[in-house]
Amino acid sequence: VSDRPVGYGEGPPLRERTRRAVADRTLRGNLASSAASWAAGRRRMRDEQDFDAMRDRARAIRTENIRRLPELLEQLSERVIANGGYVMRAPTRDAAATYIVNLARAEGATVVAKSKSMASEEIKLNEALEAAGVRVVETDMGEWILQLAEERPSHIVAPAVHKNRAEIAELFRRESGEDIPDDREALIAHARRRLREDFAAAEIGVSGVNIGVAETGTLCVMENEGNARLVTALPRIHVAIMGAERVVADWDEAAHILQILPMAAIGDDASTYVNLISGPRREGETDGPQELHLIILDGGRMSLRGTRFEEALHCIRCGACLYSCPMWRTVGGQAYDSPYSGPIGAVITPLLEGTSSPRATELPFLSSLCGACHDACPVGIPLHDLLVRLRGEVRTRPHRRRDRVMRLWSTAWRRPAVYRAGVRLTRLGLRILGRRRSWVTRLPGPAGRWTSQRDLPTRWPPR
Amino acid sequence: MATALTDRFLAALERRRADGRAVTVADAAAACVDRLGAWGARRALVADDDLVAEVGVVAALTDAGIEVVTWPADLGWRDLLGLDDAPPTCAVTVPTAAVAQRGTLLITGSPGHGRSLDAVGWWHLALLPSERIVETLAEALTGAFADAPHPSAVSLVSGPSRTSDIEKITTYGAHGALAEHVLVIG
Repeated sequence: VSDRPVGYGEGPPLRERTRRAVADRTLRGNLASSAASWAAGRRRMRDEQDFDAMRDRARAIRTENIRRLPELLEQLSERVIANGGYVMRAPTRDAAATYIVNLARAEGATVVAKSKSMASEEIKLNEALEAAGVRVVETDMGEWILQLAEERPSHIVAPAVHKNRAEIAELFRRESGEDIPDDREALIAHARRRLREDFAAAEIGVSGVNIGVAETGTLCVMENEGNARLVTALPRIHVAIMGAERVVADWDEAAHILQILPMAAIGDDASTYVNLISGPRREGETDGPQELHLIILDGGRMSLRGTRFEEALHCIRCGACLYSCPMWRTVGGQAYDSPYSGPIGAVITPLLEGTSSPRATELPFLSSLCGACHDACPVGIPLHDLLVRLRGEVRTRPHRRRDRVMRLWSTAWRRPAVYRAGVRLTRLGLRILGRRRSWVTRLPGPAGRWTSQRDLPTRWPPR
Repeated sequence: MATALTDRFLAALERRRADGRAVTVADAAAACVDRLGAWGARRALVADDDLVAEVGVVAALTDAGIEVVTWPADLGWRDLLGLDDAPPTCAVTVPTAAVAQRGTLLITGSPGHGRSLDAVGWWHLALLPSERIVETLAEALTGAFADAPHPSAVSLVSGPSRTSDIEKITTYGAHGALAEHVLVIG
């Protein structure tokens, strides 16, 4: 039985969250199998396509996009307005959420259908709408499962990877009161029929935006299920929420990003559906929204330009760094307690919230700095470097104390004799502590905290 | 006759778990009836397009006992979405372009061709003139947005609707079409 969801940043401390995650055997198994299937897809992509060359081009495109960001956003806004849409530049998360709540009130909306949007999580849209008495329905299969479970997403792209078939069947039975067998096809067929009721009833559809194309004022919404199409085409009003960094200049660039994103995300060479929306319905058209509202969310993004963290804005939110990360594969996304988990979450959560928020002091340290995320990233963001830089920005008391220990260590190891003696002593100490085993699982004294979630090898290479 | 570009497109379609074949204008209507029959469709939701008329799809389907509704359909969303015991429906679309590399169809929204057409029903059958196939996605997209006014909506469709949200195993027929078949004409 899951706890009621609490707001992001309101959970217990990181150590407690990771302890719970590590203790959850089902979660570990589900994470391992989904990471393995991601890795297999990526190997296939590397064999079939020149992924490295595509990555270089994607990196060049995103670098240039962010350099020209204000200009591109201006152009995108102008074109969307010319196409008959409304554009709202939201400086803060609250401003974005308030705009949508006011829109729902003015419309007298009772049901809002959503396709998956991380930006909507970031602005806490569901809570805001529900507080205003509007029913919010997540229509992405994975997100809907989590909504029924009253949980938070675990992954940017595959939100419910930590739930197995039996758990999902139980949730569906509880919601519908029907007897639903726990086979995949029956579960999907049930969800399809059930969610169609909400597509037909919703007055407002809310989607995210993968990329905006400045040249023509077009919003690209990528998906595999078809729910984003229905969300953006059926309700009277479509609200699209776009992170301010998600803009490209023209269709040549857009085509490249639209291709590399699913390759990186799921090891597939196309998304099943890409919805390219250039405005509300035109004269004579009988579907498509009558009003299109584009919300461009700043929320701390624009101030990152020109800093040593600017590359975080290159991210296209594919989720590859999550699967590649040994830390994420062990604790899952929920332990991050942020809409954005994994290496990119550990980087942008502090950057968007400020380095003194409780999560900001924790997340940059939830990494082994192995660099697998950099290798997996389709736009080549040096995530491990950004994490190291962020660690330097966190200045709470325990972090300052740790810095002093590190400085002492660094001074000692600069002397070869001290270094050699230290290594010998450590090796001997570990052997004694480990007795005949090959791993030390518990260190005495204050070092015990460190080994409560880590082991040390007594021999090198470890066995 | 099938060209190399058509062959590559058909091969890419199969990788996307859709399928298709090259047919002549004369054979297209019969091929359409065969496929809808095999799927078990009782109703066809058909784009209002010159090609549909040229191929004679409406008459052929009606003769085969399949109800034909032409877009824009005045049925209401509940019926189009298949709720309230609506007959199992197949969408018949006419894409404006297709990408040989990836098996992708470009479907352009217009008064006679709703942007949601291919996604509301159970199945999706596309009538694609062979000369509309291009090699890359970049060519198709720059082509689709070359002239102003740009279309209000373009949908890229690469195979049937799917989800991997349950145990990372791909299941078809999530919210859109359960299966997709493309008749490449000419």
